[in-house]
Amino acid sequence: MLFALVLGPLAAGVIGVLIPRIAVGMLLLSFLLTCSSSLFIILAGITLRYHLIDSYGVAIMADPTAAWFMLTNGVVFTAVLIYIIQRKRLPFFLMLMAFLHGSLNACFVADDLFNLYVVLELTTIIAFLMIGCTLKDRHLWNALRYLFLSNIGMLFFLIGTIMVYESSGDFALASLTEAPHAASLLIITGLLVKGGVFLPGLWLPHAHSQAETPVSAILSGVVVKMGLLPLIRLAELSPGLGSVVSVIGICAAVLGITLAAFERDIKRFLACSTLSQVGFVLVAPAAGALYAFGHGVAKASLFLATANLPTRDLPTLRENGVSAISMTALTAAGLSICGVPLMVGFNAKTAVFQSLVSWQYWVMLAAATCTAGLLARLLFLPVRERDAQPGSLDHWQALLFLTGIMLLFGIIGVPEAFSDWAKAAITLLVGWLLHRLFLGRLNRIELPADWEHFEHLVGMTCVMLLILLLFGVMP
Amino acid sequence: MQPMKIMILMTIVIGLVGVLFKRNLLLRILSLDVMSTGIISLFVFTAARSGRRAPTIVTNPASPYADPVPQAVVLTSIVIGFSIVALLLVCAISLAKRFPTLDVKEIERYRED
Repeated sequence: MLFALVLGPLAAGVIGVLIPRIAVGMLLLSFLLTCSSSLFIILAGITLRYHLIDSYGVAIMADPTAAWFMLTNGVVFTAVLIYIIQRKRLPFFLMLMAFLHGSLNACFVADDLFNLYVVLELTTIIAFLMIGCTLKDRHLWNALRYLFLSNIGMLFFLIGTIMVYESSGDFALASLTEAPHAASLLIITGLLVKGGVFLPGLWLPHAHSQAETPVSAILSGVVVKMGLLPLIRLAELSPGLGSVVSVIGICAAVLGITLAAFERDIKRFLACSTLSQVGFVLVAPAAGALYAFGHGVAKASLFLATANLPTRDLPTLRENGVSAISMTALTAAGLSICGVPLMVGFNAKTAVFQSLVSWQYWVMLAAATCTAGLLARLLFLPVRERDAQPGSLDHWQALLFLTGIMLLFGIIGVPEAFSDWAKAAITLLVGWLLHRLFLGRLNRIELPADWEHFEHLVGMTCVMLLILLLFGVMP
Repeated sequence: MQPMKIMILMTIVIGLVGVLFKRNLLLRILSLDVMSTGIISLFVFTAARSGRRAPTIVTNPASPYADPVPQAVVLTSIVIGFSIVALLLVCAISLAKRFPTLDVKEIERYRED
């Protein structure tokens, strides 16, 4: 089954190029295959693991944690496919989508360091082609930056891999615990670059906001998750690594919120929010998979909803209003990210907070409140039909699909404890109060944009590595 | 053996310094390649820990041979590194055609307009 998940989309992509008439059908079939088989794994709670005989730790594995990520993959790609069916697209783009889907599935089932390296690089290259496939200068430069930075991260990862092999003689993830600290820190840094987390992830706002809408949805919804799943697996290996990852997660959540507070551009705002949401995924590895699913679906929906807005400037949107369909989608997805009951975000957030202790709990609660306050910018936009452009109705199907998924998974397995509901309500109200008081006005201040320059981004990765190494050497 | 390892690590560091401080896009991409060459050498060096002979079947099995696993896997990273550098260079060519500069700061400024 696992091989079908990886090879199926690849085959669908090739067939789609050869016979363009059935391309969409083939793609849809392979995406739905991913959805159904990952749902099966989650519901049955099984773990499939294939080991290479006489191996060096080389294995592929699917357990419910990985299945949540694959489900995100399937759902987001189905929605994006529905979205682009109505627009004339090159068969080339469809092929890239199928390949990206297959290689992301491969990332989620890979369970050893070297397989992981290969599929992460493969995914990066396909994502690079996808960002740059319009051949506009803006997109090309964006794609070049993305590939360059990711590759530096992966080089660090590779150094870590060979250090692990040197110390234990195999590539299994579990061998990391015996390897020197430096090896696991190098590997973590590489994955942080991929996952867009904290300082090494500062490339993310630019890359995700400058890409085309369906590409942004895919990048923010699924592609960043490929770095998060291995980090979750590492965090579960040993308490030491677990605390490193969760502290980085808290830093990422705070940093992302701070940057998002000063954004005027709606797509950049959403990308900064991704930067903070990945922190929530990492802070509680046990609940991270569900959170990643909730965030992926909601963020893809938010990005697709921005496609038909008349402008990307938030203050202008507040004056002119948006169409009812965009507004509905923005509200539903925004509420899910805020953690409103009956949306999947609520279940995920409750699960995350259940596994937090002491100071982490309070910092993350503050972060969740600020998230609610910041997303209020999207929730309280006025609705005005006259600004809707002709043809803006044509993508409600994708948004309806995503909203339906959010509600479905929100209603199934909703926590029943009264305290959880009360906490969600208080978080939301306090957040909106903060929005009214000062958060809503922060984006009048403009932050210097120097930190986003290419050379500084490379530097940030190295700074993060140095910080980690210093902390690794000290105890 | 140890001076060899130090030299390999220095290659990686030199590549990293180039990636960090070169303003020319082409030189920056080449520095990336230098860095990945250093890492490939590190793999080969690690493989040669146990011996230097190629791991093939010979009449005299007593002589120590190199570990084939890192050599096999590094082949994949050579190919990946090569294709990434090729893609980056194509991208840089395409960018430089429209703005005749390779200076990273200049490109970044043009992009804003």
